[in-house]
Amino acid sequence: MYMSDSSNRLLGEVFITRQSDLRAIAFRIVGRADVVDDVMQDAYIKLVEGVCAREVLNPFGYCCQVVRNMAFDHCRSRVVEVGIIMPTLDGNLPDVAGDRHADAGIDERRLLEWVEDVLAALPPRTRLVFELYRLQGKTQREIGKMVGVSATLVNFMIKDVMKALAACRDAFDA
Amino acid sequence: MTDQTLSCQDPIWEEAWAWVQRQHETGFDDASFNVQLNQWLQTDPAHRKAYGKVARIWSVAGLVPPVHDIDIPLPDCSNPAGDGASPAGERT
Repeated sequence: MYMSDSSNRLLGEVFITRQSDLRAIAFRIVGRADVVDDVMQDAYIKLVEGVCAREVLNPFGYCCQVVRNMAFDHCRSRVVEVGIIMPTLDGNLPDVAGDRHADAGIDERRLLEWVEDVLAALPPRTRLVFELYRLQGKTQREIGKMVGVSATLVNFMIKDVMKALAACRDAFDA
Repeated sequence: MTDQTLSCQDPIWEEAWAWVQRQHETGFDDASFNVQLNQWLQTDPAHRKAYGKVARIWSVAGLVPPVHDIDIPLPDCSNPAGDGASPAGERT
């Protein structure tokens, strides 16, 4: 599942080949070229030698996903004015601005494993709903139409996932 | 803010989840929302700590490859709002 030399190389090659598309994705989200540079660098490292270095069915799609996620993280940090918000896994807040990636090594991998286990345990339809919500940014009403269930049921499914993910809190204390 | 207990009757933890979920749905460019969020964060260091953890879990959840064959949205410069979403929001 996780990294092999060939999958690392593949993600890296796809990232380089499609970097103009990936930059466009990041720019659309963060709106500043200098921030795009940071997002692209962070995403590349994650994909080639970090927690995202892995075998995936759709390498370009996964590169897009990681770039978007990193761009949103930058936006989140920008919005929250009270300092850097990403804590280390012991629950402490980093002391230095910009340090939120300093703990992105083994601890982030541990948290990712927790989260993956939670998502893997979801019923298939709930997992689909969560992916549409979290990764595609669909509204609950849109998801209901796509999946063929009521928006109310979608709401309950998302709450179920949130509840399950909330248990990952223990990863910070493990 | 939620009608379902997320973790052992910890209201701050539950509120933090509600904020992160609302942020996901609102995006990052809603000034009013951002003010409210920051006010909540500044009320108590425990709020910051809980929000930081939840945001981290939420971020990592976005790094898990989908098991379903879904399209990750690509930029459309002719329609920055995409699916009716904020350009800087997670609803893109």
